[in-house]
Amino acid sequence: MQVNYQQLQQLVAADQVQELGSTYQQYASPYVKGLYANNQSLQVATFNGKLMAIPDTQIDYQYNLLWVRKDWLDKLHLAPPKTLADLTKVARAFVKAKLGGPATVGLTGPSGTSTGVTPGGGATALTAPNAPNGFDTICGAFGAYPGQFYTSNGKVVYGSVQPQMKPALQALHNMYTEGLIDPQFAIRSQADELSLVESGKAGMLFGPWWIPGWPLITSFTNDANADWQAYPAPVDAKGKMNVMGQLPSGTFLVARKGYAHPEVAWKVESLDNDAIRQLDPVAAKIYQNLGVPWTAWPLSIQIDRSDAVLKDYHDAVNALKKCNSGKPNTTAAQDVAYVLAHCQSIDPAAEIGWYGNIDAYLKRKPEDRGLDVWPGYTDMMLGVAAMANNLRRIHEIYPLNVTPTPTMKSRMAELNKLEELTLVAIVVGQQPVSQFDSFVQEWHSLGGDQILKELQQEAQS
Amino acid sequence: MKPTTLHYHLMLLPGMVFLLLFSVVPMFGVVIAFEDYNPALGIMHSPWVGLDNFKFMFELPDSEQIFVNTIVIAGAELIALLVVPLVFALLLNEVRVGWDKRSIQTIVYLPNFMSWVILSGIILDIFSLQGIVNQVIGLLGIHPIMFMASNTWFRPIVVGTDVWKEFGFQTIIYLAALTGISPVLYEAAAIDGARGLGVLRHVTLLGLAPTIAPLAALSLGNVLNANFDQIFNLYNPLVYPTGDIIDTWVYRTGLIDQQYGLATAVGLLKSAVAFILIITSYKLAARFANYRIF
Repeated sequence: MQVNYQQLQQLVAADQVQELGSTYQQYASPYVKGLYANNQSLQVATFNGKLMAIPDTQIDYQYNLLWVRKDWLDKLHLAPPKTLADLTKVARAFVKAKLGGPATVGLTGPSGTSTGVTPGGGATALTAPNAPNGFDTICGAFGAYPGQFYTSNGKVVYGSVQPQMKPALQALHNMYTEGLIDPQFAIRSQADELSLVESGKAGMLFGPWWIPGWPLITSFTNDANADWQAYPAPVDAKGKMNVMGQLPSGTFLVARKGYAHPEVAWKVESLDNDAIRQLDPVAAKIYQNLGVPWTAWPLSIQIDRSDAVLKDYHDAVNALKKCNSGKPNTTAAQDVAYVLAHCQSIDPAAEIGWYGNIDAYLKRKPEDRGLDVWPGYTDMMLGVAAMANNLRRIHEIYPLNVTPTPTMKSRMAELNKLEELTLVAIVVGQQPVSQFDSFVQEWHSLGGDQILKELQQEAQS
Repeated sequence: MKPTTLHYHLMLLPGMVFLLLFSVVPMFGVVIAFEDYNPALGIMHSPWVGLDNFKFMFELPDSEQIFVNTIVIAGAELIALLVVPLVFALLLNEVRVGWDKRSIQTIVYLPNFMSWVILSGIILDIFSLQGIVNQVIGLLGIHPIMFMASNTWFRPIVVGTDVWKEFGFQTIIYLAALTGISPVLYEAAAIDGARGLGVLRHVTLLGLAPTIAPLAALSLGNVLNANFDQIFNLYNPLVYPTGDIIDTWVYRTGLIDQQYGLATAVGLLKSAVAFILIITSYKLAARFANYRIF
């Protein structure tokens, strides 16, 4: 069954899972082994030198980009924003020109009512990183990483109580009082907030590379002029965008202790991957045309290179140069079939679906570029491209892989509630920005200090 | 056992099984409140910590806040749900035309059937910055207020909407009870010179007492429940100080943060207090209104 990291630790401590490392070498396919060689997932699932689970891969490059309606920018003759000051200027212009109607929203905000707090972690609704509508990259422009435990100069710190948060909160508060951020972001659910984007009322939002699939596609359906473009913004004073990366693994496949055939897990994983990537024609036929998505396949967990997203992009760009059916107005499926049949030079392990989409999109006339190809194209050629072509602008750090310490188990809920309440209240103006200092003190004295000490000990052991 | 009573016992059987499975058997789970619960080890093998969870609960700065919120909101709802249906029923009783009375009864009863998930969507919209309420006060020249994010307004809105949703049910009960008061008593009162308020005091309310007393007594036991469903769907972090009740806190702490032991301890304490309240209210009802079950 699949478990998260905290559960995996509990299971290993209770000696309830089967060791899987001894069957790895013999039964995992070369392709799967190649994927693991590219990332650090196996180390995360190794306890006392033994591999206790099949780890998934949390593909990196999921941080928030700034998505802006280019058609609005063009109407107002504005340049795409790069710094926070640019962002503010653009939002101001959008709201003033009321391009989305009388209640135009410059920038959407993270929902206050989402309860997706990571177990044992620090992230609250306002600070959960890399979530659509999140403010974490704005905080990053000040060097702050709210809701995250990470190491800075060898010390374990917690992002939300760092001094850099204060100017970040001040900036957010200023934007809010000026009316540039949706005034009701705190009371709306995430779906409601995104409906502002879908109905064409909002001009900007933060989101990972995949949001054209959802919710931007609805915006495009409602208004074919909605030209969403992605920008790696805002950058800090040094011109760098500060983001928080992904932990190598988050989900683990475990086998009950004493399970008679642990090699079965590796065999199934290898088969799954061979089939999904079309590496083995026999395997690929198992679920063909049955409409079963790969997430529903047995024992399916996501194993991939940690930079899979960038690799797919580069593969797609290369393939487009080398392989083109030349026929206009094909469907994505037809393009995929063409590529499979004619372009042997393309890396067979690559995600062929992307070429199909992008190729079909590019070959069609603008008015024929419909919903079947727009998300695929926008995801890759706008979303991922913004990351792949700007790698030098990005400064990525990684969070600590946090296992709940005893104090975290008893105090974290309390601290999260305090943090959520205070940060949202400061942005919205119910509490003054100076309240941040008393929040930091309270956080430390209510158990935060103890938690940091414990994490420091663990990190050094 | 006579054959006729066997039928009744059999009819009760599914209900008893349901009660047993879902209310009695889970009671063994309260043991979690005394353990440092680890789901991988299960209830039987998680380490025993005795009263540590309870001690910790009292040390939390939030404990006071959530208990106060729960009691205030539930108390207000309790009183409102006693007074409003009663007054409404008395007023409706004066209506002479038959079809009006029945249709009004049905209309006020309808919100009872809507779930809070749906109603919260409607309420959030009505009180939003572009919603009807803000539009109306805008006409009066007042600056728009974000009601659902305001600590002054959250509790009144919660209590108000809950009363609006639930009062229909109690109104029907009171109306039914009112028809049960013998008209002879009214005539006797009229002969004795009682008018208006006098009639109300000496005939109507006395006649309703056997209905009011058990309803009030039974809802007293509910006072710590303050309606998780409603608050969970309506709240947000900004109104935690006035709106976070025991159940929502337990939900976040227990399920989201996986602090099962602590959450169970708080839930257990809540049930213990509720138990005492129910016993008390039952004794009160038995004494003052002669209401007994056993």
